[in-house]
Amino acid sequence: MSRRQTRISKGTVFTGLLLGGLLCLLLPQSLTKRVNLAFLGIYKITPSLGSSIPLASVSPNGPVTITGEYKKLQNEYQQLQNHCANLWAELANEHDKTQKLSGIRTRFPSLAGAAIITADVVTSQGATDPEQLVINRGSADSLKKDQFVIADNAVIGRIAEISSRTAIVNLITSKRITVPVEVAGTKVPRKMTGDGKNAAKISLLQKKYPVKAGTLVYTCKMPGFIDVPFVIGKVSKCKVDADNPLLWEISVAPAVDIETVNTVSVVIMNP
Amino acid sequence: MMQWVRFAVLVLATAFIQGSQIPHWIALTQFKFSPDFLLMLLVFFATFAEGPTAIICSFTIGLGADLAYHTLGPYMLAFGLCGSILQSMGKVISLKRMLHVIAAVFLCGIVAGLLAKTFIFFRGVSQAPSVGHILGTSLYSSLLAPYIFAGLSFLTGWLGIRRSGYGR
Repeated sequence: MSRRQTRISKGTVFTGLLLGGLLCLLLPQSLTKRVNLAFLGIYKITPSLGSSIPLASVSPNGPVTITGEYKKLQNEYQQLQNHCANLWAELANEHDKTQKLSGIRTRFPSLAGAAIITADVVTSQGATDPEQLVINRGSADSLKKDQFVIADNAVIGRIAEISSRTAIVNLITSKRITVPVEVAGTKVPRKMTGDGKNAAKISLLQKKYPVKAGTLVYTCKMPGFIDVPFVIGKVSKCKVDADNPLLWEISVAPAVDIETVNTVSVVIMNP
Repeated sequence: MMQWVRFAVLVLATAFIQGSQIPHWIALTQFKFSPDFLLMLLVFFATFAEGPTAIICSFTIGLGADLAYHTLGPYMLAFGLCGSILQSMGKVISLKRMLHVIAAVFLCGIVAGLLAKTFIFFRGVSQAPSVGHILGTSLYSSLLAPYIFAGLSFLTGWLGIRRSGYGR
């Protein structure tokens, strides 16, 4: 019995497969990722041959990194760096106190006695005003005006307005906010004000203090609001003030990429 | 008659090798240029298989490349388009001579790489390979291609490929 063969033209085959390829290209990564992960499962048989997937993959044409995974790792790394910076600040603070106030027992500067309220960012409002965030916690959760808001272990702003269930946070890059800060190594408190874009400025710091790009900036202790110095940003630019050559004009970049923040914590020192 | 199951096994095995650390063991220079076995497979099937079969093979090898490089779509389209073009140019070029094989793999590697780079850019999921890496990989693959082709030519009977006129 002869087998019946269906002849399909080259054009039809090409068009069909092209459409199939386009469909694969346009399908969301959440769907196609499953196929890739299933294929990666084969490497479990011979782990020594497998690549370092799924965290980062290497293509024959050079390193190709899965952006989502890379960003996640980058965020985690940033969090750890901030945490490390906080620990260093705490250690330095403790060292100073031990030297100056030896024999006097003081309260350990930590947030152990404080309440930390976690809140989600309501992005829609944030999109309308880039200098503010709206969070889904309010006075019903014991939030009060001027409390510090932290994300990824760094201060990102202070509570500006409160309703019973929501609160508006003024970001440290906002012109509406002024935070007392200390540039690491100077031990001189100064005021930091947002520039309304994506950084903040510190003025009136004398040029005799050694400040350079990359130096960490901490919040000053504010009893009732924050009892320990908390990292707030890094010096991104440092130049001599055009109006007064004896002073620095310092730009500070936030320690956290605020645009990607989804969850924040509000520090309540005296719950 | 093309043995599609055997062909699928071959593509999956090559994709497995390509996605593993093996290409990086034989990577050259400080930029780690490694050969693209799927590219060589593409040129081989696009030139040695017949019309519609060559096109199906090209897209399937592209799908294998997508599996190996972990983003579904870009390489399937790039390899499919390249293979189809190569297949349609079959009456003009002959891959009987080693120099022609090298040139075909090199050019195909560049075109497919640039196309894939564009599609990856549009998909926006992962980082596209640099032009330098595309060139390096194409060159390395083209130099290795004659040996791989010699090996693959033994498999044509097993795969049931009816060689097209120009491939002979």
